[in-house]
Amino acid sequence: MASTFAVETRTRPPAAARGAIRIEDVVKIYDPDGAAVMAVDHCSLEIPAGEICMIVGPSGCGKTTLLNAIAGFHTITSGSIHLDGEMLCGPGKPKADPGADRIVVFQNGALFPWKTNLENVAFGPVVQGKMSKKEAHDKARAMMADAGLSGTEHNYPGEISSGVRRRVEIVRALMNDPSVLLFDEPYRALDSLTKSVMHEALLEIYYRNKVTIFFITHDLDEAIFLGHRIAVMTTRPCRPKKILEVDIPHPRDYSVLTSKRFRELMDETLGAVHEEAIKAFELGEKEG
Amino acid sequence: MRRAALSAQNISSVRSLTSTEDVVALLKTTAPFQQASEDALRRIAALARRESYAPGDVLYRLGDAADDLYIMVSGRVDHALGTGSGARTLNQTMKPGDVFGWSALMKDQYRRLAQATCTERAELLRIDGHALVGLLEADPATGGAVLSRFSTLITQDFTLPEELVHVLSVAKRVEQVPLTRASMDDLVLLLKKTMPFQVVSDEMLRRVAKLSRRERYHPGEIIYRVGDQSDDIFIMVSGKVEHALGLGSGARTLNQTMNEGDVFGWAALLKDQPARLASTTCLEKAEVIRMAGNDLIRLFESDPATGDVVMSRFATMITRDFTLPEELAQVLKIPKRGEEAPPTGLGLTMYRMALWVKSPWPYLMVAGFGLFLAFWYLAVEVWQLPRFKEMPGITTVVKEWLNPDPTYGLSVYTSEYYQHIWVSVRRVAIAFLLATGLGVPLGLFLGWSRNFREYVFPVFETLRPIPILAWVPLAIIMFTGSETPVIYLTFLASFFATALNTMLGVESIDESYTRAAYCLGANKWQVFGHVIVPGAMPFIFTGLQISVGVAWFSLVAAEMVSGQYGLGYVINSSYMMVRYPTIVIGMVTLGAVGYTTSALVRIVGDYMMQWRVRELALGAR
Repeated sequence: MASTFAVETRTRPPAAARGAIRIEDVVKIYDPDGAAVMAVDHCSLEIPAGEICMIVGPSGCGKTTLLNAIAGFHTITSGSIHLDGEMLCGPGKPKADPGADRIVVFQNGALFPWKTNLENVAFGPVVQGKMSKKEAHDKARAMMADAGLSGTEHNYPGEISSGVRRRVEIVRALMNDPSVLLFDEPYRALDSLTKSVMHEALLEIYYRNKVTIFFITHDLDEAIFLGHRIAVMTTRPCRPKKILEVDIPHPRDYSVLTSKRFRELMDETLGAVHEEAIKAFELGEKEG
Repeated sequence: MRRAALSAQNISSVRSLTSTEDVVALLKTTAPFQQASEDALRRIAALARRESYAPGDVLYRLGDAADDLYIMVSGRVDHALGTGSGARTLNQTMKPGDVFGWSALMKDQYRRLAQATCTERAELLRIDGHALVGLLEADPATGGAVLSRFSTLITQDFTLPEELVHVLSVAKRVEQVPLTRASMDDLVLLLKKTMPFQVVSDEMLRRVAKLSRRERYHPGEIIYRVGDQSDDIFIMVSGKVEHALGLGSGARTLNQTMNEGDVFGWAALLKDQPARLASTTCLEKAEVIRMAGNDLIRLFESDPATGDVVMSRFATMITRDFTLPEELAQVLKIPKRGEEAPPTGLGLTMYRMALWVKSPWPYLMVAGFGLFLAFWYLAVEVWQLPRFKEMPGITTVVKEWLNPDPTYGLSVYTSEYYQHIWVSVRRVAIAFLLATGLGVPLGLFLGWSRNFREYVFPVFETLRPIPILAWVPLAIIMFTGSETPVIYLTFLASFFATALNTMLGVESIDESYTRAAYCLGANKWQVFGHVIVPGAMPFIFTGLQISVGVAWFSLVAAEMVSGQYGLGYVINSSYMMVRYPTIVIGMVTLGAVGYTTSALVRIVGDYMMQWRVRELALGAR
């Protein structure tokens, strides 16, 4: 990979034309059993266009709530979220409209098992009425070939390995030329070897399509390896506790993992995360 | 390139090169030419020119045309490799006896990868690379040895050996052993000893053997290199071959020694893998069996059952060696079911039938029936057990059933028998289709729309537990004639089962799917059509299977109460008229017809849910 993309190296993300997210003072209060639970507490975070922003925090801290708010799956209680200056949700509009400019890659994968991989990839443009079925299939085939997925077009997702499934899912998202990709711990269920392959593949895709990436994870290696910045979130309610710049230049490959800088960043991140993890654990014990 | 220092004696003898003998002596001290014969060296010496350089002279620069090979006679030359060359050490000093400039021997490498600058007054031998390769090709025995030593040398210096080594051009001459009748049997025996072919029938092995050639290699000979075209697979007969996988191949162990019975070169069986991932070098005089990967695959295509087994054994073998099994194993050129035209409903059913007939299951089924019928026979007619004595025995029933002139008026020879069946089947069919047509949409909406569910579900759940028999009076009051009440009652039970299961099916759909569809720009109705309906399909068909069962169940209940035809009516009226064998004929017929309809529903389900059939088939493997 390094040789293919060794055009220039940088630590800051490239200035992409679109995909800037501004999260301002977002509050989300659930009230499942009558007792209000604050999931997100006055959270503000600005993600410049084209950045890979990793969101790290203890489980159940409200990271996914934030992602759901951006994607338009959930309402927010107050605050606002803007994408490229346009309000997705905010005062007077508690819930964003889900749309193909922000596509979620789900934790357990959400390729439709009843559609072939090709039909899955072509799904977006077809339902949006942007392309005829044939055009969409042609483009899907080309994009799958680019991603090294030729030969799996007519398989159903259930017939291919989980790593390949994730790749198909990302290609399905890219078919729609989104400004933002929202990842909800997509590689959680993968073994570490497959994961490492997926990380490099993701970066490769990123270098080719400069999209903004909002990536939730527990895995600190993953966070440092992929991200331009890491937002460590506090335990519920969720709010950025610390934002770390990952000053390892892109493009990166797996040799980064053994570098000194990587270890230092790891120490720093771990320090911030560990504190929160202990808090979350104690909180969980009290609740339980 | 960095050769062990020459002995002082050697240096002095070559310091002033005057004759071919001196050149030969010098060549003998260099790594690549050490073991070449006197004769060959003399010929090589004839190609050499002598040149002197002053300090500061540049012999060649990065990117210059790579024509000549250099051998140091005296002095010092600084050799600086370019950064992109993948070298371990970029700078080296060449001393007497060192060889450099070997780009001249490489195929597809016309440019220098380094710069060579004279630092101390130097004398060098210069040999035209093209001429040298030509000479080595003419004498493969020497040529192979020399070039393989060159490649070792290059490998020592470079971190990415395969990139460079594979372009070395070596003329390879291979002894082919003619196949005789006797060796054919040997081949079969040998194939049997290998892991992938262990379980293959002799017949098939003979056909495999027919595709094979036997070859001998000498120590030092290279069978293939990383990046070569991967056409053939190899099986070791004797000797030893070293198998070195390339660094990028994701292998667990890079080096392996292949012994008798080992199989290598399976890149020939991988799809989209036209190039070798490893290099193999003969260590001890070796004999191998060689066959074209494509021929083998073609052979397996003609016998997919064997092919599947062999290929899956190959996959296991590959998986054992590689840390990234799925990436590689899944590209095996197995005629994968998914990639060809997917079998359509009928084809698939036939395929599964064929598998079923070949499996032990049909015999278990026959045995099960046998036991059951034997018990019936023994209990009623032989042992005459207390409660069974009054029952119609199997012989009586079968005799009556197959009687052209039945005692009680019903057998396979009477037209009434078929009329009863037809009437029942028609009632069930109408009721079932109505129940499906109304129950599936109702269930889908119940599951999909919260509001709709709040309206309808409580009423639905109140009506559902009411037994069919409790509906009989109302049904008779509601509908005129004898036909509609029966159909209505049959429909009711079916309808509830279908609607409820469909609703559960919608609820079972993972929220990610609907969310993903919205994300991708689908509107509400598209989500319904593309996600809700297909997502609920597995549950819908479970529901339909139950539904067709309860349809028969309630049909018989309804026919017993009203109606003049149908299998339920047969059973009931035979009881009234004390025609016991006819009761059993009605029951058995009901069972058989019921089983058939339920099987039909399953077949239709499989046809509509190819994805699920394939997924389940994979899971069972």
